[in-house]
Amino acid sequence: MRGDARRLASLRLEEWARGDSYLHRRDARAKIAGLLIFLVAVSTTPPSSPGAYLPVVLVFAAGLAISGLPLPQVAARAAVILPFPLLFGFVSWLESGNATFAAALIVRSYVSALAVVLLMGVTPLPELLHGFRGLGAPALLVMVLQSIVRYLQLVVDHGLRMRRAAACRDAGGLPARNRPSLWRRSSGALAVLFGRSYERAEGVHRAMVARGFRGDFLAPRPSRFQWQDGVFVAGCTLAAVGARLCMRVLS
Amino acid sequence: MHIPDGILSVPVWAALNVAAAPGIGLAVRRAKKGLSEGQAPLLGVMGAFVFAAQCMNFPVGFGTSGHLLGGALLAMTLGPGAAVIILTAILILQALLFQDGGLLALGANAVNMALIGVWAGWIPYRMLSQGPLRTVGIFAGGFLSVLASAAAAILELRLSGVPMSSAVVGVSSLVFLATATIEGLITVAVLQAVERLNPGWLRQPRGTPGRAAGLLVTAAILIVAAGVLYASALPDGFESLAHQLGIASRERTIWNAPLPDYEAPFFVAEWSKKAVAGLAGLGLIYGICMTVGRLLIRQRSA
Amino acid sequence: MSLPVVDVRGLQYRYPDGAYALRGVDFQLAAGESVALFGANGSGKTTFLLHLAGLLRGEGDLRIGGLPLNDETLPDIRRIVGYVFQDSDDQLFMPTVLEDVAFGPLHQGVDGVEATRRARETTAALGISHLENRAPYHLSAGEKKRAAIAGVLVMTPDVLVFDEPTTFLDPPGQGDLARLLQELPQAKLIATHDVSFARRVAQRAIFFAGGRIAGDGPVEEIADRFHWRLD
Repeated sequence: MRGDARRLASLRLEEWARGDSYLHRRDARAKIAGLLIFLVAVSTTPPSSPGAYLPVVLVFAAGLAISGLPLPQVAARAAVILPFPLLFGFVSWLESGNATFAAALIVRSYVSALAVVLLMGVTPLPELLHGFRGLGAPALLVMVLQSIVRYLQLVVDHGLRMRRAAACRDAGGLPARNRPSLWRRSSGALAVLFGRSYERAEGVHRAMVARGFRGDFLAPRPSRFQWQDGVFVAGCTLAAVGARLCMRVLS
Repeated sequence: MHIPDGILSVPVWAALNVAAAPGIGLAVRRAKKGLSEGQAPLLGVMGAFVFAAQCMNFPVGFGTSGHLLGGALLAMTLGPGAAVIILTAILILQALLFQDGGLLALGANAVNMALIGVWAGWIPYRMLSQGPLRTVGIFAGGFLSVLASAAAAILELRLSGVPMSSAVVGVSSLVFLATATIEGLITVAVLQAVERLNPGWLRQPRGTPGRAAGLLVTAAILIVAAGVLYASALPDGFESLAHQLGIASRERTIWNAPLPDYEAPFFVAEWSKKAVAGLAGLGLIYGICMTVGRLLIRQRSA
Repeated sequence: MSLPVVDVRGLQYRYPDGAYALRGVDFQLAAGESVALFGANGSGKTTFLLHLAGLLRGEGDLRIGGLPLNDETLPDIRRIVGYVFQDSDDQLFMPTVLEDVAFGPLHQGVDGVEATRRARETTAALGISHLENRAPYHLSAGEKKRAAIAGVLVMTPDVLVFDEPTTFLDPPGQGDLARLLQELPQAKLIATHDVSFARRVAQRAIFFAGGRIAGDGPVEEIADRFHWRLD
């Protein structure tokens, strides 16, 4: 089940996010802004050649060095996005015969993904969601994000237990003509999981109401945006602009 | 299909971010109206359910398996407003935690899967679920939610100037058709099983639109989605548009590789214009989100 | 004797399908008193407890801390009654323990800084300061229960209501919980199947059967009278 691999993947992020570097200490809003500026710089660089992205790669490398995260694992995490740009790079190489452009497309995607992994590696998810709230995302959306994070593993575990229970009662594989029953069982299991989730939501709602919830979700006001965070955003902007300048010089 | 960053051209991802913000804002308003006294946790826990359901495989035959995507199922159970919010939240988490889809491309993915996917799944159910064609409506909902999302994604890639021949689009279309069919079948099976457990968990649309109208609208969505896919497969389908939106500047840099010195100032101006435009776009998107949010809050408290 | 902090008279509740869940319950709980609630599954224990926090509304007279239960008093009553749910995962819905504990004060209108301060104070009092920034999913069952209790205590309730608090806890965890409950000065109403646990945390017990209180007396006596034992 994909859930297992995913669980490990997100555990690693949580572990990283507990670190204490200059990047870890920055306000989540500043880091989100910094990431977006970086991504815009990458995205506005035309994919003329893979080398054009060297300056932004250097900016990323500096960030990674400051964060103290392990390069091989960050690189491996970001590599999960590769199939999509590889496919499109390959297709566009076949179509246009332009390998440089294809390679540049892949590099551009990969660098963007690396930057996202870096952000996630230096910011605990709860803080990041607070940051979204601070930047004006709708309260309901942020709350939905929080509860998905909170209940995802619980629901996945429930699904796994149901699957195990079904496997225990299943003596050997079913013959092919019984496939409809296999299908019915899968959909039945999902329906039960749906129902359990629905009931869980009712229980959660009751617990919220018991503690004074009246339909509007309140969150503590985010911590003060410090001058160091402002400096950080300014630094990110300068680095992005500098990188863009270098790209021009390089080509 | 989650589009990562770095594939879409700047005008395409920027425009779709601008388009996604009010769509999601409206959904928030709709969902708040539809849920009694803030059953907000329902949205979160059901989001976790869809996330988990996407991990559970269904046997499809030929030794392969598919899984539920869930947009249509959520619309049919919690209503389209709630479904849009849940799917948006899932897309955000997938982008952040699993690098499924990019951040700048979030608007594109949200438009494709959360907005188009949910509404294309909801409308056939809304219009057909009360008569004898109920099962057809459910299947069409699941089927069209996937097909319409995929068509939108292909269109965006084409507009970004990603070169794709008719053969490539044709093969992808076949894959999309198969995925859409599986989604339709799973949606029917799961929704019927959920209904057996508790009919109260389903949205029962009020009022009965005519069956003919329902079939017509469903067919219209199908034709639009199929039409977009077909047009994308044509060699000159979007070339001129793509030229303007995405590939134009790229071509220049590709084929004039070693830059003559005298062109450098022009390029500095060009890229700085782009960077400024990109940042201004971000600011604009942010401004629109805030304004729409404020307006919604004001309307709600009024 | 002072006024009972919980005073229930003639409480009736019917399910939407018309079946009776509670058929006339009379019950008083004095300040600082601990009462165990026995009864078979489906005898109406949880339904009764939900009424005390105003989560269900039946017919009859219900006073909490002297206040009659109605829409106006509901916010006050929910502060006076701290409800600890059976499944801690229902109760710990925020991303981190500290945010979860701060949820109650925040939704009572306390500002963010003060809510966080109170939350820290409460987690420290319960010895779970080290869990403040942890996600509830990674806690043990005992830690979750403590965090859930912290989320309730932070609202300075006068009555604590526990629905099957020992579910999911191992024997040392149950012992821990019993010691914690003995230390808490509030009036307590504890629904449980575990007589030995009840004996440690309560003096008095009531027995629910068919939506009524069928017996009221010392824990051992009630357990004996209703054969509420393993053998």
